[in-house]
Amino acid sequence: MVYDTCSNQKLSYSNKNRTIYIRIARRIVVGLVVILAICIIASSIGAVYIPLSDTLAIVINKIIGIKVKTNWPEVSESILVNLRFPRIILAGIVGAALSISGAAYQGVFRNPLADPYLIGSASGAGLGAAIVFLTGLPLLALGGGLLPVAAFVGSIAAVTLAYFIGRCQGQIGISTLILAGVAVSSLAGAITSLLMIKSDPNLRPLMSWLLGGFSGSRWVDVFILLPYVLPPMIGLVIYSRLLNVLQLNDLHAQTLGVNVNRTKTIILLAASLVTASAVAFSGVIGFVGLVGPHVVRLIWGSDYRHLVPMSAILGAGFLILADLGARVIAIPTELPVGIITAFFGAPFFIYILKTKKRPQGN
Amino acid sequence: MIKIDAIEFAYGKQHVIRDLSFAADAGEVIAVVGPNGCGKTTLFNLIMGSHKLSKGTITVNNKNIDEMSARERSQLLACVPQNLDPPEGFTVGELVMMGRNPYLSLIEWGKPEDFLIAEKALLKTGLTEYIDRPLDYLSGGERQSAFIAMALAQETQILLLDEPTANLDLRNQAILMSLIKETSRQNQTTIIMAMHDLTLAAQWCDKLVMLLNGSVYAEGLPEIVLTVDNINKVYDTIVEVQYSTEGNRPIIFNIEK
Repeated sequence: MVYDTCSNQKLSYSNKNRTIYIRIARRIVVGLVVILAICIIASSIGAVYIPLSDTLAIVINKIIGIKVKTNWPEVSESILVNLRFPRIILAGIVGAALSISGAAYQGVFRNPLADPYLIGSASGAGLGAAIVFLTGLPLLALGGGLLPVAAFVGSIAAVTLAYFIGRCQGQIGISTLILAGVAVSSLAGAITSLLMIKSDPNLRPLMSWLLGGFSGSRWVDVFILLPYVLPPMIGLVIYSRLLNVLQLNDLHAQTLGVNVNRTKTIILLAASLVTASAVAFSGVIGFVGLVGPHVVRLIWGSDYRHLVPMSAILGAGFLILADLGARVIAIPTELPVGIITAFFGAPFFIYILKTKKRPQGN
Repeated sequence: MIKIDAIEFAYGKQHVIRDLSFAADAGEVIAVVGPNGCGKTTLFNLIMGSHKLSKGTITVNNKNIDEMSARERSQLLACVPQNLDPPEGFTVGELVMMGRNPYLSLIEWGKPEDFLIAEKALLKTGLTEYIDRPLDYLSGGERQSAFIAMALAQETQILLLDEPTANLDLRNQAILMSLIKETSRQNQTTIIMAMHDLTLAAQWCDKLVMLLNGSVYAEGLPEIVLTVDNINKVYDTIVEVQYSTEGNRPIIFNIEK
C-alpha cells in the first residue's frame, strides 16, 4: 500500500459514480421488462394452455388499449382477464413486498438471514389476520383496511418481541435473532391453530389462506393491496442510502450524523407494513425475503441503493414463477406456493448460514 | 477550537473520567497517551456524544456539543474507532462515500462535488486503485486507511483517531503519520489521537496529553511530558529515555525485566 499524495492524477471516480442514478434506473427498467415478459409467459401456461400470441394480443387490446387482432376464443380472454392476470399481478406485488422487506430487515438487523418469515413478522401478521377472520368481522370493513391493519399490528408485535428476546446487552447476534423469531413464529402459529380449533368448523377459507397462495385472487385484491404496499416501498427505496450507513456499527453511524434509533424505527415500521399487507392477501409464504435480496447481493453487491429496488423486482419474478409452479406441477390440483418457495429458499438459507463471514454475537 | 472543561463520567459507580480538562487549537496534532483503561476511548466517546457527561462541558468553536444535533456534530467532528467493523460486501468507494452523509439530505445520493471530495480522500490515502475492491479483501492496514479516507471525506474541523497505527507496519505508520500531519497543516484540522507507541507519538505530535485514572497527569510538548519519572509513574514500569539526534525527540525503551 502506498499513500500517494501527488494530486495531479486524473480524478475519474467522480465521473464514474455520477452515473449511479442512471445505472440503477437502467437496471430497474430492464428488470421491469423481464418481469413483464415473465408475466405474459406465465399467463399463457396453466391447466388450459393459451397460445402466447393470443395472450399478447389480449394484453395489448385489453390493458394497453390498442386494437390489434381480435380473433381469440372468448374463454381465453375470460380466463386471462378474470383469473390469471389478477393472480399473477398479485403474486408479483406480494413477491416484491416480501423481498423488499427482507432486504430492509437484513439491513436494520445487520443480519443476512433476516426474512419476514424467519423473524416472526409474517406469522405475527398471520395471527392478526386470523383473528379478524375468526371474529367474523366483515373483511372489507374500513374500506378493505381491517385485514391489513390487524396484520400490521400482529407483524409489528412479533418483530418487536423477537427483537427484545434476541437482544442481549444491547447486542443482537445473527443466530439469536433467528431463534427468537422462530420461537415467536411458533407461538403465533400455535395461537392461530388454537383459535381455529375453538371456532366455527367451517374453516375452509381460513385453512387455504393460512397455507398461503394466490388461487381465487381478484382484481379487487390488487387494488386494495397496492395503496398499502406502494408508499412504504417507495419509502424504503428513499431510505436505502441510510441503510448503507447503518451497516457500520451504531456508534460509527451516529458519528456520521445518522439518528440511528429514529432511522431504524422508520425502516422497521415500513418493512412491517409491507410484510403485513402482503401476508393479509396471500397468507404466510416463506423465504421470498431471503432469496430475492441474496440473489441481488450475488450479482450486484451489497449497496442498498441497488439492493432495495432490485430485491423488489427479483422477488416479484421469483414469486410469479413459484406460483406458476404451484399451478402447473400437479395439474389438476394446485400445490401451496409455500412448498415451492421453501424448496428453493431452504437450500439458500443453508448456503448463507455456511458462508456468512461475520459470526456476530453468541 | 475544542475545549474540554472539567468533565466527569462514570459507568455506574465506577468513575472513568474525573475532572479532565484540556484544549486544542486549529491545526494541532495531539496524542492522548496513557495505560490501558485510563479512559482514552471513553474520552473519545464523550467527545463524539455517544455517552452523556455527568459534569463539565465540551465545546467546539465555543458551542456546547450537547446542544448540537447529530448532524451538526457530524459536520464538525469525525472519528475512526479502534475496533473497525467493516460492512460486509461493500467496496472501498462505497465506504468512503458514506463519509459524505452529514452533508446529504434524505433523498440525495451524492452531488458531483461529494464524489470529488471522496475521490480526493482516496487519493490522499493511496486507495484510488482500490475503489471497487470489496472491504473484505483488504489487509488490516488497507482497511484502516479506507476508514481514515472516509473520515477525511467528512471534511470536519476535528478528527479523532483511536489507535490509528495499531495495525500498521513501520513504513505505513510513517506514511499515515505524515498524511495526518499534512492534513492538519493544510486544512487547519485539529487531530486528536489515542496512542500507545510513545516514541511515534513524540516524533509526530505537537502536543501530548498523558492520562492516569481518568484525569490529565501531564500535558505539553513531547519532551516535557515524556520524562522517565512521568512514564514510570503512569505506566507502572521502568523505562529509559534517550533523545533522537534529529529534532531531539524522546525515544522510549522499556527496560523492565
